[in-house]
Amino acid sequence: MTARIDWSEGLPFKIGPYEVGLTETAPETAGYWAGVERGELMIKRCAGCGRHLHPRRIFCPGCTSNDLAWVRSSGRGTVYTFSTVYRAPTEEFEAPYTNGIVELEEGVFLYGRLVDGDGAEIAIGDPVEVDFEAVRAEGEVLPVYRVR
Amino acid sequence: MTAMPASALSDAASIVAVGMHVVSPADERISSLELQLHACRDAMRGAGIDRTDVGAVFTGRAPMSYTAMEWNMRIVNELKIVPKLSSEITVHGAGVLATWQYAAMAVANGLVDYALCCSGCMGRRWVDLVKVNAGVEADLQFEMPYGPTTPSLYALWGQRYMHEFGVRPEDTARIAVENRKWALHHPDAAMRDKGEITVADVLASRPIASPLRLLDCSSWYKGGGVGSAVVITSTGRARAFDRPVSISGFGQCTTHEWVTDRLGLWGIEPSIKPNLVTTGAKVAAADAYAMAAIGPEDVDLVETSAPFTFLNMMVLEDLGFCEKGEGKHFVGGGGIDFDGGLPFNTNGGYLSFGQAANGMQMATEAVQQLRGEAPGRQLADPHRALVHFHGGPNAAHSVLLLSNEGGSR
Repeated sequence: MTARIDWSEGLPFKIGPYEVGLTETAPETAGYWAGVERGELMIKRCAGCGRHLHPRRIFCPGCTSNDLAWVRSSGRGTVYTFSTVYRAPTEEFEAPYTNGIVELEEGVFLYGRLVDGDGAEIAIGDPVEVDFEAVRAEGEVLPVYRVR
Repeated sequence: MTAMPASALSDAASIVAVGMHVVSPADERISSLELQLHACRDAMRGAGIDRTDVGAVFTGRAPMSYTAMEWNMRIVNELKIVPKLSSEITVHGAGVLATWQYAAMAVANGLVDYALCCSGCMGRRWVDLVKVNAGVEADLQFEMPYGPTTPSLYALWGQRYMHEFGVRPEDTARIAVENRKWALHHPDAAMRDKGEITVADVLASRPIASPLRLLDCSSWYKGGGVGSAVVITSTGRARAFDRPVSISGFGQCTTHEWVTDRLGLWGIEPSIKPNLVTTGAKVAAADAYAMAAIGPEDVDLVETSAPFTFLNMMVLEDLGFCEKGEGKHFVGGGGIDFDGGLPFNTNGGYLSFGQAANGMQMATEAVQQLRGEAPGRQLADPHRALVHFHGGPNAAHSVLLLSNEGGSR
C-alpha cells in the first residue's frame, strides 16, 4: 500500500524538477554567475550592432546576430523603480527590504536588492553602484546595488 | 485571395450559457478540477447541449493548486467529450479571457458548432500563495533569489507610474473605495459583509510592498474559489437561445515574461521606448475597438482583472477612457464612482469581489449584466461591456467587447 498524500497543508510548489527560488544556471547565463563569483557584474554586448543586452539574451533581437560577448559592466547606474517589501514570501527573507530595477550606464536593466548606503530613503533616479553580498541567511552571494 | 478582415468576426459568435460554481470557506474542500467541472456541467445544461455537441474546449492554464501539464486534457478526460479543437491558452490570466476569443474564431468560421471555455481555482484552500505565487511571475534566476512577492513585482510598475505622473496614494485609493461599494451588492463577493471603506482607511492599512498597502491589493477569494464556464456558438445559431451575448470585438497583446525583461523591449507598441507605464491593454483594446467599429464612449460598463488600485487607473487610460497620465483626474472627478460614474468592476472587482485565482468571474459578470441577470447590482439597460484580463506582472492582456444587440446587427 502506498502512503497517502497529505494535502492538509498543501504541497510544496515546484516547477518541473526545479524548486522555486534557486539560482539555476543555464549555459547562456553561466558567464554572469561566474562573474558574480569574481565580484564582477557581467552583461552581454552584441558584436554585430554594439547594443548591450541583458545577460539572459541568446541572440541580439535588434540585428539578429548570434555573436554576443560577455563584457564587464561599470556597475554604475540609477534606480529606475523599486518596491520595499513589508510582507516577505518566506521566513528566509527578513522584511522590510527593497528590491528594484537599476538602469545601468550601458542601458541594460537589471533587477536586484537596493542597499541604502547612508540610511536615507531610496528614490527613483538615485545613483547606485554594484556590490556583492548575500541577501538572506546562508544564501548565495548576489549582486546588490548600493546607493552612492 | 486576401485575408478576411478582422471585422468579419465582429458579432459572429455569441455566449449562450454561463456556468458558475462558488465555493465559500464554510463549504467542503474540493479540488480545482471538481470546481471547474461543476461550472462546465452547469454551462452545458444551461445551453441545453450534451457532451456529443462540444466541438471545442479551451481552458485557462492549470490551477496553481492542481498543477498538471495540458490542463485542457484533464477537462476533456472528465467530461468524456471528443473536441476537434482543444487547448490550454497560456498567456497567464489573460488566457482565461483569450479562451473566448479562440472559441469565437472556431464557431464563427464554422469549424465547430459549440465551444466550451472554463477556468477556476481553489488556490487559497490548498497552497500558500503568498509563498509560491511569485514563482510563476518572477524570473527564477535573476529576480527570485532576491525574495520578490507578487505585489512587489506589480509595485515596480506602480512606483514608476506614480512617479512619472505625480499620482498620490490618495488618488489611487479612491478605486478601492468605489469597488467596495459594488461588492456590498453581490451575494458572493469576498468583501460583501465588510462595509464601505474610505480613502483614509486605505492609507492607514498596513504596508505590503511600497507603494501598495493592504487595501490597495486584491483580496484572495476568502479561502474558497470560483469556477466559471461558458458555451459559445455562432451568432446565427445563438438566435434560438434566450438572451445571447455577442462578441463584438477582441484583442490580445503579450509583451514579456518577467517585469525586468519588459524594459528590454523597444521599438514596438506599447514599448516604443522602454517604459513601465503603458501596458499591452492599449494594443489589445485598439484592436478590439477596431473590430467592433466602436470607441470607449460606446461602452456601458467595464470589468477588469487589475488586482491593485494603481493598475486599475493605468488600465483605464490604456483602454481609452482617458489620456495617459490623466487617470488621477478621471477617477478623482468621479469617473468611476458607484454613484453616477462609468460602471466599473460591478461585482466589486479583484479588490473587493476577490481574486478567485484564474477565474473568469469578471467576464461572466459582464455577461450577466448584459443578460439582466445581476440582481442587486443590475445596471439599467446596458448594451455594451468591455472586459479586460491580464496576467503575469502585466505580461499579457486580453480585451473583449460584448453586446446584447449583436444578434440583430
